[in-house]
Amino acid sequence: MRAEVPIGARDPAFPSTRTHADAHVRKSLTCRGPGGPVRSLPQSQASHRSCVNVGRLSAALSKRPRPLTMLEYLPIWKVASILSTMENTPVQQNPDDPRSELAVADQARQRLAAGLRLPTGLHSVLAAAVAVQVGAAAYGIAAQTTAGLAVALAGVAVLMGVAALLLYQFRRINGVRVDGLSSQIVLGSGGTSTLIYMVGFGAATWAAFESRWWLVAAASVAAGVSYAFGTLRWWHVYRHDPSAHAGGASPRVFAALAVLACLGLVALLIAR
Amino acid sequence: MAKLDPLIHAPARLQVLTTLSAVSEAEFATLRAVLEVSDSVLSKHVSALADAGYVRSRKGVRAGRRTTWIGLTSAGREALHEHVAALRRLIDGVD
Repeated sequence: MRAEVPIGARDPAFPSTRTHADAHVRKSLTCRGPGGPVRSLPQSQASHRSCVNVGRLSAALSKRPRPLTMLEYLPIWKVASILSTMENTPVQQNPDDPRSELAVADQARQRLAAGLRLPTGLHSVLAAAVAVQVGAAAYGIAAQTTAGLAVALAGVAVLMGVAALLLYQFRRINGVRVDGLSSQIVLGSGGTSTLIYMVGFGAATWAAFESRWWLVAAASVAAGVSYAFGTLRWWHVYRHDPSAHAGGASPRVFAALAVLACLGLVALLIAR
Repeated sequence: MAKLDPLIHAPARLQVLTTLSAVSEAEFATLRAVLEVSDSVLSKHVSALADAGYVRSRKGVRAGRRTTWIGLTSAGREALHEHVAALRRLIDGVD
């Protein structure tokens, strides 16, 4: 095997009737120097300059018995068969592609949900705020006075203020807004927790009418704890299936509720 | 019958819509971090989805900085459900 063949010179082993394909192969294997003209390189240098081993090329070409003719190069029966197959064979659907697409998208969603964090002390603060609201409302209803009404409204204001602060913190920490969480914190829309809240509220109001203040406190705390527990349970359900539980009352709904509350307050004041 | 939606067939757009379905709104930076894409790539996809009415965006402020909040519209949620249903039907059909 020869180590070096001057490119551009006629190779004795290379027939004079070279085809276009042979010429193309040889052209692609030449090395151009900085000055531009084609030149040959020793084998040691060629390997370092990403040139193909020219000696191996010569050996490979010399093994070819004869040049290809046009008919042998593109036989029509072969081309026709290939084209026919390409046109008639349906595209094979690979189920792994859509499956992997869905899996990657689902992973991104789960990554977002798993990275969400509740504000520190959300459950205890929420439980305390609800307990204050229930106790104040029970006292206000039992007192049947303007001062009592003011106390009840103050309790509602405390709960709304705490809820707004918690939701603001959640949005600031995570960079997302989840209406389902807003509904849980402001409206307590969980089934069991809402029921316990209503029972606690009723018990506290009855106890206030009976002037059993320890029972008012106990019922208020129970209502607050159940309210916070409902939020905690919703949070776990949401983390498991975020898209199904992300929805809830939108800020517009809360604005409408606030307007209704204000109108109710005005009506109460006028009625007195 | 649900059909594949060419607009959200691109994996990146499918990820954007799927991720947004988990929240009501997400900040641009949060979405970019979750999807692990560049600003320009996410901005391009969000613009295309917003032009189709699949997402909505609004300017907001977070920690004193102006930010962009992106949310899924009802049309986008419906399109996502149909596209995912079509993909699942395709998988079931080939399997």
